[in-house]
Amino acid sequence: MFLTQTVTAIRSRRIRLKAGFVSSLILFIAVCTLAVAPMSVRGQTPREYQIKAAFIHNFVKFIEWPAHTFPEKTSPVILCIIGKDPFGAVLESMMGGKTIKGRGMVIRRFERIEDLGHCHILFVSSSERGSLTQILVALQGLSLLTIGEMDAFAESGGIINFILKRSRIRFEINVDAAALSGLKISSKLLSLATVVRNTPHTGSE
Amino acid sequence: MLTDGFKERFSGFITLRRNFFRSVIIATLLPIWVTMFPLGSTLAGAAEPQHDLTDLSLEELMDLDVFSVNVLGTHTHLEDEWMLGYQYMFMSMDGNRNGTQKISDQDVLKDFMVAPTNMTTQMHMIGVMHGLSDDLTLMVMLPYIKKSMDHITKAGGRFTTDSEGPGDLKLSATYTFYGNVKRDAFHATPWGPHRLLLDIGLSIPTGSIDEKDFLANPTMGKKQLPYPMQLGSGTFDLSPGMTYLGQSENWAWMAEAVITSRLGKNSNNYRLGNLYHISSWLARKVTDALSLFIEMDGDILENIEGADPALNPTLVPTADPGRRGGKSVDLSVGVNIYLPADEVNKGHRIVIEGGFPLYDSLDGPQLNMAWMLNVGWAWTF
Repeated sequence: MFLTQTVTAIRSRRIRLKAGFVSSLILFIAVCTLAVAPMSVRGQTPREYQIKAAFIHNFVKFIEWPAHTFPEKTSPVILCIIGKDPFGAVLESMMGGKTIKGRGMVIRRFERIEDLGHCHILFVSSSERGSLTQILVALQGLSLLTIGEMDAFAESGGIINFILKRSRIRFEINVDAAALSGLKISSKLLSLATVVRNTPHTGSE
Repeated sequence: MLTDGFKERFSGFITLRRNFFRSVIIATLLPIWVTMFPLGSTLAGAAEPQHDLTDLSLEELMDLDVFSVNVLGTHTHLEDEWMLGYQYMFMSMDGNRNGTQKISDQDVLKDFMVAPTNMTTQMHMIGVMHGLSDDLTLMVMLPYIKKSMDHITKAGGRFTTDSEGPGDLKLSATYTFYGNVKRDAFHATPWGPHRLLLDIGLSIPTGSIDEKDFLANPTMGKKQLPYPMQLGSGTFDLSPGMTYLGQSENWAWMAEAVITSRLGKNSNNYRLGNLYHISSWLARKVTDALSLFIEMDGDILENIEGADPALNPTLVPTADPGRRGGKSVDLSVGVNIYLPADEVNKGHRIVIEGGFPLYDSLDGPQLNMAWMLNVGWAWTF
């Protein structure tokens, strides 16, 4: 009898211990599952690219393209993206239906530089880091605002480069590259940028 | 005998049911908590692709933070970034437990002269963090601790002991060895960046292990207080850990494991048990100024090795080095409030967190946690 009672007591204690562990384990799994499930379903676009899209929208206000690059006064500004597009649907949702200086915005995406059509702005995705030099060489002489987000983009001849500083977005402008492309950049935009030149010295913010 | 066996089984069944119902309640509340936020996200977060940032000026865009969801705990800072933080923690322990079973004061007094009945711990922590590079963050933290424990004696007398002073100074270095908080990480998956951090902490024994107070008989003068009333470990403690951090636009999530290992014995001839800690949290941005989080912590604490010769382990269970270990799982929920960004409030964050135990299995008799409150302020500049 004593043995039976002891075994019952041990079993009962094991059940209690197991129940506690099992309930805690279920909760851990529940939290982990719930942590992952919403993300995989939603696939959200990071906030970074909403801000960058708004920057690009603003740049158009402060940059002048040669008149010949627009067939008409109301011709749209054509924003092209080359390489893996990090913006997702952000560009269309933020810029669709809006006008800047009386012009709409058209967005086009290209995989390769050889396929590039007529553009006013070219966003070079960081997926194209390996072929950056070829891309910039191919664009020489075109009145095209090149925008990138990789180290040494501006020093290599790109015009505007996004950089992250303490969780905030800043940008560099290569004024020599802009001049070669025939683009006029307002002093207001330059005053907010880190000025970069083709010659190896940099200006200040 | 048959009746006793039945009672034991019935009691086990009741405990099982209680644990089960507790799990059911929480498992029900969790999906509600999570499913409520898609509604919140419709109102705030998910609507953000249509959020008209194009109306903002260049200066306003330059003031926006790219990374906006995070909570206190293991995290990193970008190069040259500083964070000054203050955290207040209040923990209430109420009643004794042996194993998973709650036991009464009278049960404790069957084996000891004195039983602890409840305890409060208040901690004021000041910390500084600095990003040496985007991958390496250093931290220094010093707590100021105030403890109070109530007791009952076999004769029915009651008394309280108190201790107060600085705790152990903590230094740590956190290194990101996988992932990059900056742009490259965003391209990894549609969920946002994933990072793995290596953390190494060193605790320096600045907290006292010689706290004394009057016991049941004040005429005997102040006596050495038991282990849980001391303010430090008395040893250099090493805390290696690994942290996984994930983040998307509106969510952040974390899982970490840390082992606190005591190096040698302290000057009172003992060392606290090693602590094995796992933790995970999930944070959800509701608006740019508010995020909510749910956190779960699991601890395994070993018993003390050695013994303080000034303590009598047969007098009170808190003086017994073999009754300090145990396993616990705690759940807490909290809110992060980001003060509106302007020139004065840039980078200020307030966190409020409340927690309670889900599971305790203690080498008792030992006081068990009833609830805790955590309020923190962090200023990043």
